[in-house]
Amino acid sequence: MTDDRFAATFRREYPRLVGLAHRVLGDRAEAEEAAQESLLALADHPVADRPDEEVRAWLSRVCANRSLNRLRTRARAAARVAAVGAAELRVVPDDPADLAAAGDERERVRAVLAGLPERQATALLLRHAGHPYAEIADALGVAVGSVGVLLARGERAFRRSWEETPR
Amino acid sequence: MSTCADSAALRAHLDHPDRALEAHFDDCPPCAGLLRAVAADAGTAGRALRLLDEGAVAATADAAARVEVALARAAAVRQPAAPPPAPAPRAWLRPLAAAAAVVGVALVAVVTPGGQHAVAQLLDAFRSERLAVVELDVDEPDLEALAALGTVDVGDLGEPRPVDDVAAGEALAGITAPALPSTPDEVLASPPGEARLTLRATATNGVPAELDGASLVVSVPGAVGALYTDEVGNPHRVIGRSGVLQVTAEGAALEDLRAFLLGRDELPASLRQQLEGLADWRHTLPIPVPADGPAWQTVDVGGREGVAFGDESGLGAAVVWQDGSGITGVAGAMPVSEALALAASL
Repeated sequence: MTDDRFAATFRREYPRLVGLAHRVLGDRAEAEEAAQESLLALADHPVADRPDEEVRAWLSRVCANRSLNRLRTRARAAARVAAVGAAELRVVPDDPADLAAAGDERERVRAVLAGLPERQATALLLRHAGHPYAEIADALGVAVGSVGVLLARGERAFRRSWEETPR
Repeated sequence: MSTCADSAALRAHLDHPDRALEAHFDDCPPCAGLLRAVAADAGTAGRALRLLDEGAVAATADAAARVEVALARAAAVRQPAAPPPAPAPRAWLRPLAAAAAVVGVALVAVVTPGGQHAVAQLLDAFRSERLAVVELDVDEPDLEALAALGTVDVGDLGEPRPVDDVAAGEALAGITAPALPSTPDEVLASPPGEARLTLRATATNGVPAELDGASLVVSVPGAVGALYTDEVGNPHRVIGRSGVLQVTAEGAALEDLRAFLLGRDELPASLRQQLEGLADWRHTLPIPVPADGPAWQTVDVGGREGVAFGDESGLGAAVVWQDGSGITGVAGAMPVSEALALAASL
């Protein structure tokens, strides 16, 4: 991938990827790291020489997966700390004033999302961020007809877990 | 429309309404009920996920400047100036992630029956006699979607479990462990078992009528793994062996089942192409490796062909090879040359 194309791709995709990662992580600095990691991974990947739409789909998947992995790692770290009696790890939100109102609910959504199979979580994340079926299919490497399968199963699992997760 | 829809079609209907399907609901209370359930799931998930919109990153006046700062940082990591500066945090993380992937690959290939089951179910190796790497450009194939093709019975298959010592592991696995260099800190083992995928033709899953009821039967070998831990108890080296993996077909030709599975869209196109390119597919066990994962090379391990993963950084390496008794592997936090020497000594 040439420097010019890398820079153009970076400028075009970075804001979108930060937004996607922020939905999952709720932390701007961490979202920026996830977006940068995804773009750096692209630079060394054969897909970098493919058309822009394929690059966009690949980046969507990689960024969503990396964000979900970070979320799961965070949850494991929090559980480990809690298990030894220390204070629970919490991520400082962008705006602390939000915490009282909606932050806890958002963390609950993220916890449920992190517990889903990766492909289902990615499908839900992309769909509810407004990506069309064709883009989700490209991102996940499945037929468009399979997107409904992933969404139906993901939403069923999400609802079940959501209703079981304490408020 | 007279055909009932499955939940996937109903979910797609919520986003892209289908008039024929809509008319069908008037005459089919079960479908109408299923649609309500699917809509309730989608509504609950949608309302919850919209909470994340409220906390979304807002467009700010400094957005363009932030992109340029991030781009400069990424460019520095991508192309370090000469002489090379101290590695940036990202540059440290990438080989570390690769090291973790190396260990994961070795464990999947050697001591994880679930992994072998999945590989065999997908890739239809008849009897593993050699190994071949296939690169995945997705994190994992869509096994869940493949499950819609029929029923999967994994019997008593499970993760390896701790046993008292190597002898107990060998007894459980029904194989002989490699000659170990020292007494391991922990031994894991799993018994041999059988898994079965039986295809069921339905109106929507694409299974042809001639394959309805046909089965892939996977004879999953026993496996035993020896773990060596560091001073804080984290495993840093593993040596393992499993028996020979075999797959047979019932109710259809193995080649037909393979052709059908490889034609499914659930498998990424690049993976299908690699699998279709395996000349001796009846005896070649593919080892899936992430395309952006660790470097790998084919190697000679005491006259047997194997695959080595990793580099000389010492962060992680693995060697896996097959001989007449099965698949053997070593992995750990060591340079790949050390892993090769260890493999050759077994």
